[in-house]
Amino acid sequence: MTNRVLEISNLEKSYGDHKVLKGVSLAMDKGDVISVIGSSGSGKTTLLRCVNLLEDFQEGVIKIDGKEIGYEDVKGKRTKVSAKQVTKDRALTGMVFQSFNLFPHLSAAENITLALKKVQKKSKEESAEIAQHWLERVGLPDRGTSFPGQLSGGQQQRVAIARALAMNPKLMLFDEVTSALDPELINEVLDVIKSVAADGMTMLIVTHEMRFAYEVSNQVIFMNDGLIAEQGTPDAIFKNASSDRLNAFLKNTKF
Amino acid sequence: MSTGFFNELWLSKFMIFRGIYTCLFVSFSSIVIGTFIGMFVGLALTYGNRFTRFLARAYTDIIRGIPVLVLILTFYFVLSVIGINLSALQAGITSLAIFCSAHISEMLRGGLQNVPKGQIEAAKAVGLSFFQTFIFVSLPQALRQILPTWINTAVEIVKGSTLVSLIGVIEITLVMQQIIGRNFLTMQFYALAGLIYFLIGFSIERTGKYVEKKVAIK
Repeated sequence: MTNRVLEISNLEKSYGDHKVLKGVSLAMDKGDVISVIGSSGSGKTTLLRCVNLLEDFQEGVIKIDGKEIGYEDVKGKRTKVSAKQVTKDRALTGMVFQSFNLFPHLSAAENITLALKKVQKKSKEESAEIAQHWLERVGLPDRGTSFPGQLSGGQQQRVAIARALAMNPKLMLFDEVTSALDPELINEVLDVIKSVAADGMTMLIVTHEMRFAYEVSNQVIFMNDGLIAEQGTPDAIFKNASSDRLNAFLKNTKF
Repeated sequence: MSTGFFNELWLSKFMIFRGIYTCLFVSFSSIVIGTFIGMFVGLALTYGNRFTRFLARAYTDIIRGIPVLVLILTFYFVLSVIGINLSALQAGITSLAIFCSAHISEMLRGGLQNVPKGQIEAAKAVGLSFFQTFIFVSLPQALRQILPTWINTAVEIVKGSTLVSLIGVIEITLVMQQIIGRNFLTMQFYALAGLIYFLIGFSIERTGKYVEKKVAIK
């Protein structure tokens, strides 16, 4: 129980009448790498965004390191926590987006140091050191002074990964991080993620790259219509898929 | 003829300098005060609740719908009726500043709303608060985007400052009228006025272009 990093129980989320998540439960221990696959509209991305509190959710509990995030019990009533607490809870996780979302007016290094300085209140020198460390880690040691517009998509995404990792999160969330990349740039990003996984980082990865999911994860989740339809080891999911729904999905995807 | 013009020009040089000074003073004050007010109104337009948004929207739309001259005359003549006596200079600066603020607020709202949603989410994801996101992520991008329009507004304010001559502020236009009243060199001195306005406007625009280039996103 001490190693439990993420615990989601019975998560429900709807936009108006449309229910996107219909009761998702999931647990992750330290060092777990779980890939989430499924067709668009199955709720994968929404699940990730709920964990990062970018989306509100109506039912269920998300715990990180044993502590509930986003909501609290006030006199028996489920209440959203203060904006300040949301910001704090959010800092427990690092998120990498499909569209990189680097700050275009800041250099690669400044993209990383901004939150180190403003959120973690680290000194300028220390922040710069940390940024350089992570830039080296993602294979871009001499790109610190480059601006996002001067980097390729793959390089931008690697900076975005470095930016999230530099904040020393408990859990990394990857939201279809290669979907906006040219095919020849995908592998450099996936390789970085694999090497971070090898370091023991706990990661929840939404992806369309089946081979990558197979290689990087110790668990794979297949989501369908707002629910976890299948969960198992990569071999169980990809090699011995039992349900028709999963087989139909896998048939239509490239491995 | 031309010796007469230069002679008259020499004689009236101090008046002209004072006119230019007054024009610059009025314009500069209006732009600074207007930008300051406009920032707050723009913030209310973008992030305010329903009530503050309504107030800010009403302010912006009403001011933008009124000709500057009417604003100037109102502040000078109408306010004195209710006991607020502004000097011509004060009334001129106030009305131009208010005119300016309505434009700035609308600009800022547009600029802030054009910052992609992903930027805000990325800022949240690394743990920046609402205020930090605004200062370090949204505002720098919005300001770069509104800079060209802001420069335009500044030039418009300089040109609009001629209107305060109508309530007796002795700026470039009124100085020229006074000089012409003395020597009847109508064409020459109005041409000179035009040239001075052009040079002021042109310098602002050039400076703006330079700054734009300097801070451009690479």
